[in-house]
Amino acid sequence: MNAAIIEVENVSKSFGGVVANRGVSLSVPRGGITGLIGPNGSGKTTLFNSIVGYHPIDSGSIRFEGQEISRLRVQEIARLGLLRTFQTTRIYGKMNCVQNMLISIPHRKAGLFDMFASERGEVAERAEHLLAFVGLYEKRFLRAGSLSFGQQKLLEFAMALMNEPTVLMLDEPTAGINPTLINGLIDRLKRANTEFGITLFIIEHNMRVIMNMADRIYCLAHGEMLAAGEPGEIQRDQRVIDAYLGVH
Amino acid sequence: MGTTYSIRLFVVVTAAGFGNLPGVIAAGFGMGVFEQFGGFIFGAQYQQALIVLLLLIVLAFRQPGNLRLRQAVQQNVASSDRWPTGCCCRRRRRARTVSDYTTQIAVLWLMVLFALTWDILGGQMGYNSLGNIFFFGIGMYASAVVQIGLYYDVGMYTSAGRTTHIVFSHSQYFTGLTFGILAGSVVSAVLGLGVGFFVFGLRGPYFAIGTLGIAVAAAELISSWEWVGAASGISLPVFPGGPDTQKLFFYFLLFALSFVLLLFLRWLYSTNFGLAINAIRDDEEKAEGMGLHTRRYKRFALVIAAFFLGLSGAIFGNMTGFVEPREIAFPTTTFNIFMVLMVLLGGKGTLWGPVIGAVVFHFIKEVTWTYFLGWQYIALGLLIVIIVVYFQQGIVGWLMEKYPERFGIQVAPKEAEQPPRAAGLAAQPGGAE
Repeated sequence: MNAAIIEVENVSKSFGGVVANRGVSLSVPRGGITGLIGPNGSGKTTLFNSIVGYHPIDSGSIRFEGQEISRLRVQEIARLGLLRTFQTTRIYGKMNCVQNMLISIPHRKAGLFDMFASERGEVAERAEHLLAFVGLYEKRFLRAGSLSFGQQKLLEFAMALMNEPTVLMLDEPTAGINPTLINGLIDRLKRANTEFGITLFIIEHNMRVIMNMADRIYCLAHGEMLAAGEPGEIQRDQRVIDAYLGVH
Repeated sequence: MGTTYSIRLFVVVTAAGFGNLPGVIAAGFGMGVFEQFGGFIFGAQYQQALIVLLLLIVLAFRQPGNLRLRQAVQQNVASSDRWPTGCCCRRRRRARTVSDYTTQIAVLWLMVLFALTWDILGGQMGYNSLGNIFFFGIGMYASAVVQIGLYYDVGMYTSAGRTTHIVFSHSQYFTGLTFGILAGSVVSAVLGLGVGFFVFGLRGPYFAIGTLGIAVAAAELISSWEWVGAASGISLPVFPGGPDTQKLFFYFLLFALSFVLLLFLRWLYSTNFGLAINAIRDDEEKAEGMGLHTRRYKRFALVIAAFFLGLSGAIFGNMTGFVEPREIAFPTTTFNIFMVLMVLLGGKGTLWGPVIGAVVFHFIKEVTWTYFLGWQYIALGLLIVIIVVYFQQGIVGWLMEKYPERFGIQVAPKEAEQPPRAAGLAAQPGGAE
């Protein structure tokens, strides 16, 4: 296994009296696909939000490529190459798909004058390639807001790829997507991992999806880390079965 | 002034917390005490400005975002729409220019400038500002101060201006005008940058009220600043040619400026800048999450709007020949609201919408002023209600909905298009190899 790219150590976060994460530690290996599962309200999304800087953590440390990021702001973390998608899809609704893609270019090296750049040749080509990759090429000039929910998820995924992230964190990528589209999405996620070399870190409730994709899975329950291991181990782990999977 | 009372109301209710009756009573009492003692300590002329300062403090530290707040803001806006003041200057000018089409259309170009600059933030970026007039007034005053200050002591000029007539030579006038207009736009843009640091912490209705607060504060401060003539204003140097030449001259300046602005914005909206501010409008949190330099874009958008507003303020001040804080430089209840209205009428977030809105609005306004004098504000109020309630998408927005193809908007996918090498991902940049 390669070295860890995200290292979370002893992170705690509470909202008022509610403890969402208590002493959570995990590490995401570079180049792999890591899963995060757990019952609703177990603190998965809170952990994601903590990692990408949406709210400050109470204690602990979060490192990305060896650099401490727990005090950085959302934009700064995104510019380092650590990107996330949202549980409820977020796209720029009044702009068309191509425009959505064009503004999703990586901003880490953007200087003051890039604000007024309009040179689009290569970027536009890349945008079209990626839209074709997720299967939205024919709809590329439609308003993003007029796409169906599943298509918006695909668009959001394509936008994330456009940003050339090192790590992509996906919050329930298959929620609300029909079964045939799920297969396509799994395939594309795997290809993003193998062909583009993007490390994936995925929250997922669909066990078939996550067991099929991930090399390593963490399970949260009541804000604490319950278990960690390979998909097979997790599936057999009695604590995970009791807290989350149930008996099939 | 109705605006300041509305602001007082807002401060009290926000500070206390919505739906908290004892809190509101306590806050109201506290506010009265603050006002009295504040006026006593800092001087009565700063009393109004203190209220606005209080507003800004409340906004910075207390931001409950809920539905009831939105209602409060709507009431607030509605009450400031009643045009409590601000009509006398318009009527005065009206009487002078009934058949004067040059001035008439010069004002139309000013309206186009207002609408276009408001749309940068309000339409394209989704930040509804109610304080854009601030930059207009600042440009006007900066220009006036420079034009006079180049040759005379400004304080002496303003105090002497009421009794003696001071003459500027031909070259003095045009040198002063050039530097004045430059100063107006630059000072305004710099202040735009400063204001941007502060107001972009506010979102939604808070942004609207915060910016309105700044405009009202500026009007109040300048009304009590003797050096620039306080509430009685400054008479600007008189144009050396005859009044007809003067009219044509400023008509041309305003026309050229609105034309340049339109071209500039057409270019600007075609760059990354246009995409970025549209992205901020659609989902600012997402834009942040994607690593966009949102603050940078927002500040720049404000600076651009401030620059052009300062420029038009400097020109308009010289066109009227007289600068005064409440009704000419910072007319928060007239021009300031017209900006918003014109953009809504024409269609916000479009290039031509503000222009069309400005033309239609100006026409309606002049007709009501000519044929329904005395009822004009009621007619305007009615127009506001109709636009805000029934016609928010505006003329261009409505046309876009009706005939999307004519605007290059696609509503259904084209058939049988071949994606570029559908599976050709090996050539992707950022690939694994």
